[in-house]
This record gives sequence, C-alpha cells and structure tokens, in this order.
Amino acid sequence: MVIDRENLQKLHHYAYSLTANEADAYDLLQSAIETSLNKSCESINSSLAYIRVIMKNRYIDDYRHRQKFPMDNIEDHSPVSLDESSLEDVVIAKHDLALIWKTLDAVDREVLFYWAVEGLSMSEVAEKLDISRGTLLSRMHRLRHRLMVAENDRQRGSV
Amino acid sequence: MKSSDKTPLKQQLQQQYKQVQLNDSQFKELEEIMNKQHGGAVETEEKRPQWRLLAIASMLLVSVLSTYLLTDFSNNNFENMPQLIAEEVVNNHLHLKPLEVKASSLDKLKGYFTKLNFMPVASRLAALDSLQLLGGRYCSLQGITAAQLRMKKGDDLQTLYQTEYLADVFGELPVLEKGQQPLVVYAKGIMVKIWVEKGLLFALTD
Repeated sequence: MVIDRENLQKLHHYAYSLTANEADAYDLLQSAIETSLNKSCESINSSLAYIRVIMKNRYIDDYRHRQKFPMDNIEDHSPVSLDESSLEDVVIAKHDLALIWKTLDAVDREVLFYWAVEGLSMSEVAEKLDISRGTLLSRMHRLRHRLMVAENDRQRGSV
Repeated sequence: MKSSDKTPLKQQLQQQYKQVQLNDSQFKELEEIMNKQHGGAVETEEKRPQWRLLAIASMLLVSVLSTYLLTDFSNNNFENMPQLIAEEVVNNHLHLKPLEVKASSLDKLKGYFTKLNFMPVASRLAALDSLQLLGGRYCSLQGITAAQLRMKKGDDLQTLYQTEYLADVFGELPVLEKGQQPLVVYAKGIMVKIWVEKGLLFALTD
C-alpha cells in the first residue's frame, strides 16, 4: 500500500482534529501507518478508512490518560435542536477560533473536521461517526452556544 | 479586534487546516515507511507486474509449505488454543481499557460496531441473563478483530468477547447449538468460559 501525498495530508488533518496538536498528529499518523502495513486492504479507500480507525482507537487508548477523551453515551443526549444549519451562520475571528480550538472535545473537533474540511452534511457526519443525527445536532447546538458565549465574553473584555 | 476580522466558522476552519501541513521531510519519512513494506523500492508502474508475479509465486509456495508443515502441528497448536484465548481475554479484562461506547442494550451497540465482519449477538447461555451490559470497544482475539463487551453483575465487572469463529484459527470448540457445554479454562485465577454460538466465538470471564 502506497498512499499519495494528498491523502497523507488528509489523514494528517484527521489526526490533527483528534489531537489538536500538529506534532502529536504526525506521531499518531506515523504509528497508524506502521500498524496498517500488516493488513492488506482491497483499495486505497479501505486503506484510508482503516488508518483512520487505527488512529482513532489509538488516540482513545494512548491519550486518554493525559487528555480525557469524551465518551458519548448514545442514550444520554436528548435533542435540543434539530436545525442542521445551526453552525452555518456562526462567524468567528481567527484569534478566537485558535483560543477555543484546544478546549473543544475531540469529538467536536472531529465533527468540525468532517463538516468544514471534508464537506460532509451533518447526516453524513452522524453516519460516519456511528451516532444518531439527533445526538450530533444536539452536540452542535451546544457547540454553537459555546462559541457564541466565547465571542460575547471577548467582546465584553474588549469594551 | 474589529468585527470585520470575523468570517464564517466553516471558512475559518478551512483556513486553519490549510496551515496544518506536513513538511517535505515528514512526507519522505512516511513514504519510506510505506516503501519498506514493498522491499525498500518505490513502486512504479513498470515494476508492478513483476512484483505481483513474484508475490503470487511466493504465496503459492508458502501456501504449499504451510499445508505440509502445519498438518502435523495444527492439532498440537489447537490443543493449547483455549488457554491462549483465556489468557488474552483475562489480560484485557484485568486492564479494563476504556470503553469506546456506552450502551445498555445490544441493539444500541450494533450501531457502533460497523467495522466488524460480524454482528454482535445475544447468547442463550443462562450465565449471561443476569449480566447488565455497560458498553464495548473494538479489540482482537488471537489477531482476529473482535468486540469486547463489558457487563456488570452486582458490583462485579465481567468481559465478554465476541468474534467471528474461524475453525482454522481457533480449532474445535464446543458449539452450543449441538448441545455442548462451554469450555471452562482458568488464567491468572480467573475462570473463562469459551464456546461457539450462532457462528461466533464467545469468551466470558467470571
């Protein structure tokens, strides 16, 4: 299996969405590629999917003791909003995004990656992450709220 | 900061990711790792047919040799297999690695385990009736991808493995549908029941 640079970059972006740190993302990607070489996949797409699964599982295993990985209880979340476009109209400054980025749960960063970088709809993201669409939209509703609170705080501080 | 600095979240995220780029030395390092798997050479279109022929010939040779060599050894290996399964299950049971998903019913878990070659199922073994499901995680058993389910009985946690039953990997094991009882094997003082049911291998700590 040889993965071209474009796909390596995409995998690196996915790793970054998990770790929120470039160096950790590279380490995660490197170890996942080494592990994946032991398995032959039928296509490049299945190889990429396999490496993503390895990275996610390894992130959960290896990073959890340092950086708590949020576990989704799929029965916990009752939907508070079913508006798929709840994030579309959020505007944010680069500086604010940088500040809030590392405070987000890995799950939220993963969702934002699929939504903003891979261009998936919320329904597609929910399918990709094996969680219900209602749960995902609830998360995004809460995330929107956090972003807006952060933005308001910043504005108050700058007055 | 001026409000004009603000752009839609999606656009801001895309710009952020654009700044996260692998550099040339990182690309080369990753490519070297991948190429090592291909005998240290970069795979080219011209080389690929020969490489494939060589690979097919090698596989045939290995296949013939394996069949010949393993005929005598397989029975001995399988004799030890229940103990190996029990030890692997108990080691993972004792480590209590974090659950990847929490759920109290198998139906909820099925939605998570989509990368498996099988679907986790309920067992008719009476010992499981009193156990409450807590959640699960991906795992492996003797190199075969498995679902590791965590169950609770009172204050005690128990681990149940389910994986595709492959006779050539796991050897002969008792089949519940044939009226056979689970094998009972001990590892590190913990009892493990092993059986085959609905085409799956089950291993349960007690």
